[in-house]
Amino acid sequence: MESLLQLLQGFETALTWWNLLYCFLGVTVGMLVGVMPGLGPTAGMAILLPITFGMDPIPAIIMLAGIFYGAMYGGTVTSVLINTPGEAASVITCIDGYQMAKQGRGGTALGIAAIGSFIGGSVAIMGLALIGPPLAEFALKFVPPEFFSLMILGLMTLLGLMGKSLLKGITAAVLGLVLSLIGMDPVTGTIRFTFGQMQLMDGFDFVIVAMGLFGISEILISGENNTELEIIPKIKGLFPRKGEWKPSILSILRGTGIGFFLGLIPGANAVIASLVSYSAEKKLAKDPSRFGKGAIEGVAGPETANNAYSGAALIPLFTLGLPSSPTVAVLLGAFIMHGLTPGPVLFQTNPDFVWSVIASMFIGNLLLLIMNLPLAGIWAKVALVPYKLLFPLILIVSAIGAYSVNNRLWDIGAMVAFGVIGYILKKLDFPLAPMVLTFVLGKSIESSLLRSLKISESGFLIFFQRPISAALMGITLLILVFSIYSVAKKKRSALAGDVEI
Amino acid sequence: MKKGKKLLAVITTLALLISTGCAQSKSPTAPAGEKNYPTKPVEMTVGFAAGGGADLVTRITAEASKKHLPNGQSIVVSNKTGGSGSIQLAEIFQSKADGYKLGSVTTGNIIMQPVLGKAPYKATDFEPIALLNSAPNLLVVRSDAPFKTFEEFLDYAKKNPDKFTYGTSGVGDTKHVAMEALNLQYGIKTKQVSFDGSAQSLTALLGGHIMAAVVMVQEAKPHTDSGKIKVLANLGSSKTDVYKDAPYLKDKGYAGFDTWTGIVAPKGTPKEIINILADAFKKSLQESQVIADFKKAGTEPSYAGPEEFKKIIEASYKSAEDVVKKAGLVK
Repeated sequence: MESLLQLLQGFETALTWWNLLYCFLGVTVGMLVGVMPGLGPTAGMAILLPITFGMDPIPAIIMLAGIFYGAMYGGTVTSVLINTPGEAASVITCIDGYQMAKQGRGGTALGIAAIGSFIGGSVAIMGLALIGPPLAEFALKFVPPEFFSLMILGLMTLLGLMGKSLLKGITAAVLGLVLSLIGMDPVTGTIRFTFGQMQLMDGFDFVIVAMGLFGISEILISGENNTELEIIPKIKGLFPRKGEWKPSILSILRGTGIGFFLGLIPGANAVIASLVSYSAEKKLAKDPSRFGKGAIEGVAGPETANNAYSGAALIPLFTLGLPSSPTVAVLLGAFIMHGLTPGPVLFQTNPDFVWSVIASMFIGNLLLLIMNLPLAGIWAKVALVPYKLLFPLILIVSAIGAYSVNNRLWDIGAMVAFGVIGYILKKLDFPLAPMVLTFVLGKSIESSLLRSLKISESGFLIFFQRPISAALMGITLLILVFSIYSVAKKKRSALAGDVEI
Repeated sequence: MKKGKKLLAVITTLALLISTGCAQSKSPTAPAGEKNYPTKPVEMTVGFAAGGGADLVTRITAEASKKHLPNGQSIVVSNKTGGSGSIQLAEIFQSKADGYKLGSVTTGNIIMQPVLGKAPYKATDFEPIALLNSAPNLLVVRSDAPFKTFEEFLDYAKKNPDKFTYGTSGVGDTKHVAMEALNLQYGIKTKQVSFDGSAQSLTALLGGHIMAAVVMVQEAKPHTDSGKIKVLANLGSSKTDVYKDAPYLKDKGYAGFDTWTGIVAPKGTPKEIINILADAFKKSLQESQVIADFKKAGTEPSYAGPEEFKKIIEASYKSAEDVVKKAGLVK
């Protein structure tokens, strides 16, 4: 009850004109960096951080936090419209979102994503406000062994993304894993597969790989068909069809739960949240074959999950002072710069600050919903722009985005190279999503495995000795056994499809 | 169409010719020791992510130095991350020594990367300008740890070789080396677990999954304030007001490892330019606003000029190289 009262007081501060303005500025910038492929919330916040030095802490943090959650809204736009994820968490959205756009339902995809994002984001903030501190203790239970088990479970869920052929899907997934090994070994510091190239010391950046494989390859493929391309049907409305409301709302609720839970874990990332949500939707759907062909649940669930994730990710920051991702780390830097020490004492020493920022996040999410619903219709028209005008523009924006990752030209070259690889793989009908996802997960899998083994005194047994980790491993094994069983039951029909080509 | 293409080709060639011409005509006008330095904004790169400790300190100083640079010029800071900061510093290493390209460096990229043989440059390949700040590394444990004092910890570590686990923010970072030096000095064996940054290693420590962590003062402060962790020893080469009571091992013959941030220029940058810059940084670090901003970032300015900074780099390099070789961190 007490916190509810404090929250109301927070609204009083957050609703002053200046704070509203900064909140609006923050979410708008967030939207923009989210829309630009390559530019993410980390870059957006880092650029604006020095500007906030002279500001009061409350408006400064309100604005920076706005960028953080605003970007999650923006990332959807490019995924749906041009099949290029604006940020990592939106890779999954490409699968069904882009298909929807091709059917002229881009507006609907963006609309449902905005609604889902709003619900997911608001519930997560509610969690931060009401049950944050006790939940935070849970975060401390997740260290390398638990991570590793979680990632392995995450890998299992990839099976849902394999596309038509299991063999090709697995090939793509392994390719992604191999790519993630390039660069410095996270635990011993040994440098691998760099061929003496210093630029490769940290391996490839996710943004570069994703923009190349998805975006550039899409442009190359479309460039092939010189004649007028598929005619995109007229855009139909922003809201789902009648029969779609119920499944969409259910996906949104599930996505909220999944995203919130994963957000609590420092070090997990938004990608896992949307990945788990997508496979959950596919497993639960009456007709899983619709997925990959424009299923609305495939957009609603993951988009909700990544917003719920980003809201919940602030809980460890506010309550423990532990940033869960590089983006949140920039926010931590901002806290410190403004003389605020996040952690258990923050709620006691600066209650007006904490509650104003939390209140502003409710307002920000509402602003984003208001901005996004009408905008969705406008954005969706982008898909109608002729390719010969649209693609050069995308190419320029992508190149700028790639450059902005590390401020070096080399990354643009790498992006183009991945574009060519993506083109070849698409031509050969390899699904790209598993490749990108294993690439993201690969680094975490490797480092958490090696760290666990270093902490462990009983080798690999550590994964089965700790309750959370053991439970996760158990679930993974169960899924594995069931999948093999169901395949065996369906005889070899599933495998036969693979050998065809 | 064809005509258009030809025209385009001609224009491109012309543009290329003109731009190369310009570039050539420019180079001779930047002789060693430009009279009126600086005549344009100075570029400064940071090898670490924006918002981090090194970045904040650099940006605060660069911002303040505007008032103290001649001709009303300013310093523009950008981040070039990758390879633990060695990609940025390698670029400085190859840059023209005209005073318009400076690098902000930390012990991580100017000392540790070359010591570990992972960088194409040596620590002495640069013209030191100024040291901005220097913060000691601390050995921290949970408040409910079985050892109350540094001596009790030593006792435990001696009796249980390879049982004591500690986290640092990366393999072969200053913190790792500081702990290896401790191992060598006291003849103990401890196990290092490297994380991606201090936040992660502190998470693991708070959750009780590792026994200790080596972190910097500003990283430890929120958690000592809340009473969850305590400082066992100061492994730095400087004392800190925040943890006055922590045993200062340098007094007991331990080398001491600080993590510092400073500014360097490419080798061969004219002396006059170095002095102009050093002077501007010195004045900046004396400003009360800068001191306040540093304090907010959890540190304090500790200026050292070109000569002194050079000695600090050499000393840091020597002690790090010593430990790395003896501990077998590099083959």
